[in-house]
Amino acid sequence: MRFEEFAGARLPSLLRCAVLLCGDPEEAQDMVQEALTRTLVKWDKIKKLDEPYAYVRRIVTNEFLSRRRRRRVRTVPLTAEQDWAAPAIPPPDDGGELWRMLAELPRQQRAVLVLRYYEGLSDQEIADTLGCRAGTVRGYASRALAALRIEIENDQTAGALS
Amino acid sequence: MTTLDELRRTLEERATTAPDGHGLVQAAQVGAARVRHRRRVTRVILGAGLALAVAVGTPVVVQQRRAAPTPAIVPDRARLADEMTLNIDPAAGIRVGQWGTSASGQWLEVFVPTSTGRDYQAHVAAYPPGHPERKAYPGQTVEMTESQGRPARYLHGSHLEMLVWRDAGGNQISVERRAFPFPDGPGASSPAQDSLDRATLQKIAEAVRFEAPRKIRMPIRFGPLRDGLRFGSMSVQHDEPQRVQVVMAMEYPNTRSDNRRQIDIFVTTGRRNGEESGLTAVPDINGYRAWYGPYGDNKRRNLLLLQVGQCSLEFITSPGMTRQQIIDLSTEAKLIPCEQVDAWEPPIS
Repeated sequence: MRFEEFAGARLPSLLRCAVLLCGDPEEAQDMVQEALTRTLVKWDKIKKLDEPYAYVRRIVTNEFLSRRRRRRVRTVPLTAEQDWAAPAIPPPDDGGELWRMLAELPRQQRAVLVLRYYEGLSDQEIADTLGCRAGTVRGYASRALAALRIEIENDQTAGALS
Repeated sequence: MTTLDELRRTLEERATTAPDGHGLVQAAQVGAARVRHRRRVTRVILGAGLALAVAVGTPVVVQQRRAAPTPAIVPDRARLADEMTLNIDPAAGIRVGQWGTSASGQWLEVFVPTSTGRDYQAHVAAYPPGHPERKAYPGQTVEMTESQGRPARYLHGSHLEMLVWRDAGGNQISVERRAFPFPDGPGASSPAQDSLDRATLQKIAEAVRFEAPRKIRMPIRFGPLRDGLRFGSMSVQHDEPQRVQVVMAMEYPNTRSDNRRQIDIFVTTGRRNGEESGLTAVPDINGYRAWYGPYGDNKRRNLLLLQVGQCSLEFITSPGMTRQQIIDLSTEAKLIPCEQVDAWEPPIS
């Protein structure tokens, strides 16, 4: 498979995952572009994997977790004279309370929820993605769901996928 | 209470806000070409340098190996939360990038040039006596070894290697390398490319040292702090003259982890116009342009933005903090244009 074919087929999925992780479309583009750049550098090897998408999604997730700030930090040379436009901040109330609470979760917890409930990964797959133990993933998920005040009695996902 | 179905529905709905990705593939191709070119150039330069070093420097190295290793310097008193004592021996040829500190520990990101053209990057951390022992993850192998003449553990797995030891004073020091994950999937022709390198890890460990406590400096110095506000943590990246990034957190006492009351301060290179970020102009603060408004989609926190010299200075308020409180805090502070590095001061005195 050529890189362009892979990217053409999987780019929308990567962007959707990225925007759920970081909450900001512009930052999501940055993250995915960075991930694709790294992917392309090693494409000869990545294309031979069983699931190249899973690997690139891992890069996107790691990129999200390694970013220290919630919003993108722009740097320009000190000599720059012109002002630059900062990323537009979305209106304060453009979504539900649940989304707002999700945005305030610690990054690892948010990543676990996105990977578990949007991407449908098992706890072990999430653990492999985040580089931690499955028990840690369950801990993150538990704390995140508690913070979101979500009933977990009917959570069949974790048990079924673990 | 909410349900999982609502969570899934929210995620599905929000996923539709993803951008279309136009031009991303082309941008990635340009970026990848740049990376490859940089690696090629670095490889050639390092190869030439290595050959020269072997030809000229071997006698010098042999002589140095006979000398006793430089002992780590021990600070003359315990450090405070906003002080650093951790450092790297400047003679070791190791570059320090970002670094930071908090009440519980201090850390450095370090880079060692390698013959592959890609720096070996590692994370050095130090915690005071009493900090729990670093445990190995399942699947990690532990070997007993030595670092700086002290018993040490070498933990390693497929993508991580770490040296952990305690110095004579009981401080726990760790040097950790996380290789960029590259699974050896079926059909992959070779093992991970970003390989682990125990010798380099050991070299970094031997270069770790403690110095006398030194105050961190910032382009801001706060005036009186009210309601028990105190230093929380800080990270600094200033390894290039044209790039400054300082992140500092100030905490209120008795804050809960699930409802943290803290002010975050960001200093970054670049000129910002707050109105383009949806903020409202407020009267100048200490002669610098200022804007105030909501912080993103967070309803509980607000943002005060100042343009100070060539840097933007952002205060993300603690939940419940009023506009006047944050303006007072910044007005009573001494603001220093970030390009005047020599004039930076400890933020809290």
